Amino acid sequence: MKLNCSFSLLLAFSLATLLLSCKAKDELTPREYPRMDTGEVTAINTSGATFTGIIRTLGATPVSDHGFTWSTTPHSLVDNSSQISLGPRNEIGPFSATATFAMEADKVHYVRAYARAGEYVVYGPAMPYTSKGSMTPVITGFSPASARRNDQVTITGSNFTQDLNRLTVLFGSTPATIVRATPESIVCMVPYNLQAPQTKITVKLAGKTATTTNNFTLIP
Amino acid sequence: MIKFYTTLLLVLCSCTAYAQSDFRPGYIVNLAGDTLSGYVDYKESRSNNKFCSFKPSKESHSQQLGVDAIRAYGFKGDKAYEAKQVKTNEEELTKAFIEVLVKGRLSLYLYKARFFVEKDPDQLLELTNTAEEVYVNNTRVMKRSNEHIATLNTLMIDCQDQLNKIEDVSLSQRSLVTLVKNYNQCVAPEENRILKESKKWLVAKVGIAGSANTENLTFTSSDRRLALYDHARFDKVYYPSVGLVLNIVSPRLKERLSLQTEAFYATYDYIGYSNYSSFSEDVYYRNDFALELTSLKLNAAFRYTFIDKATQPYFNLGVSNRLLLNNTASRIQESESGNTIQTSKHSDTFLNKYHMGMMAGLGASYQIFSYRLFSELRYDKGMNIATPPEFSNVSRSLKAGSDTFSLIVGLYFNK
Repeated sequence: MKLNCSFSLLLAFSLATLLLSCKAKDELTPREYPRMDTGEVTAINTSGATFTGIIRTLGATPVSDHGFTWSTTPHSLVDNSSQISLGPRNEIGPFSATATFAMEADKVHYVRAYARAGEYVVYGPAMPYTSKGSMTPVITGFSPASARRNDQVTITGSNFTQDLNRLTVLFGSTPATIVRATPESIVCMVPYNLQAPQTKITVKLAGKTATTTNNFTLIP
Repeated sequence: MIKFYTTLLLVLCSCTAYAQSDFRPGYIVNLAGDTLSGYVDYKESRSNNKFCSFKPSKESHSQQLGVDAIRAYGFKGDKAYEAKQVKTNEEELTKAFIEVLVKGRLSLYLYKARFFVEKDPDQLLELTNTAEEVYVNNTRVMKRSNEHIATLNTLMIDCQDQLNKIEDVSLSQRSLVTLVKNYNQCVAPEENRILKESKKWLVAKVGIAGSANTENLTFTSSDRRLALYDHARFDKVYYPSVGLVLNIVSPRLKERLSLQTEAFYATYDYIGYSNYSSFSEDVYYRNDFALELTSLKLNAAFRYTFIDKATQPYFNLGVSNRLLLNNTASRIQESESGNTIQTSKHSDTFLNKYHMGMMAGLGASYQIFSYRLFSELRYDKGMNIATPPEFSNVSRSLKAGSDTFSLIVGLYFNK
């Protein structure tokens, strides 16, 4: 009788354990920095594409900036590639942005979501996509209107890029050295070998071209 | 873990209580030839050949009786032993209790997996069939002596009907019992007595089972190239599984030893983490693993069941074979260089689709109506569970294993 009682106890215990057993909750190992994921690229058309990203976890310090960076290689970096900055954000979850510049038609591009937090810059995985193109650069003005060789000239407009390697500025047909650029402005140097006293300024990006309506005047 | 130790303790207590003795109604034949009824300890070990434990009544103390103290002993409706002079493997004569399989004009005996026949009193003959390797036309073949056929032909010459059946007889209990039984039926049916005849040669018990499992994976390697896996630490997982069980036993041969076969289905997820530095130590890698697995576990084990009562403790020892029906592995790697963290995703499946293991279990079953409930605590050690594809040439240095504790509850549809 005692033994049957032991068996009953054992059986009851076994059944209870069986019923109570459950899957361990998935928990990721914590990090000091935010963890990023890059989502699918949608709405790919001749005007650009829409990027999505996710802040999966937050780190020890707040996110001072987040956004997307892209180029034709998988290892684009925020400081020298095309980029959309969406500013600070201190919550986990998805985010998205539509890029309208620096994409060549029928060419594979790679986008990465990124976040800056304290001293860290964190990139999500590179997501490949085939672009259908982007909007043509637009020049709305430049200043100064006249300058000497090697002086800096600022071109303003839209659909430029931060990626200096993909951007070309010409004074007439003479290429200029670009100092820095944003999607809205380009700072370049008047070519040291520029000869023509009056030239138009041309911006070339991703197979598309924009030219000033007014002439730039070279001061000898 | 405490749960498992508690269960283990319970099972052990049950086993200890049951493993002591199993006195069943039986008899002894003393040296004067008198049969004394009582209770004999039922064992399935080789000690049966040396002595028996006998007590006249359930309440009385037992006494051990050796081959020089009694002529024979046995169990009512079950097996019986007789004291006989037999040759040992070293050709020495020794007196031992040998098991009676058939008693009649020709008697059949079993002693330590050797068969003997006796037609005339004290004329015990061993049935042998030695095998020898010989070369015929440069081909190695096994040549069998078939001495047992010659012996049986001589002894059964007085029953012509049986002679043509002797050619096909093998040195197995079932084959010999049938032959000797038919011979006795032919020459002296009134003397023919078959021992353990009420017991079946083969019984298969089919059932269903569910189990609660806890499992962890371990990876170690001395090869620097396998640092990703060497440093991997996976969270312990808890998951249920369901399955079918089949227990095959031959009560006629060994009622306590059976073959347990099982198929268990389970689906479960692992998460793991691994961190290490590059060779040059300028990049620090952090990896999160996610494994989604669906497995079919096919187990085969020998089961030793302790006694023939309502509650039967048992233990299992065998092999487990795991087949991963779904083996999805994903890894997110973060490479830290300076203050830049670069994330990349990988889907490198490194667990082998099939791997083997060793298992041992302790449990008990209990008869309820015409069913038999069982509960078992089991440990399963999986071996060589992983081969990283990108390092297949060095993966031998990777020691990858799994440790699984299971609590199994099930029901056999027959007793």
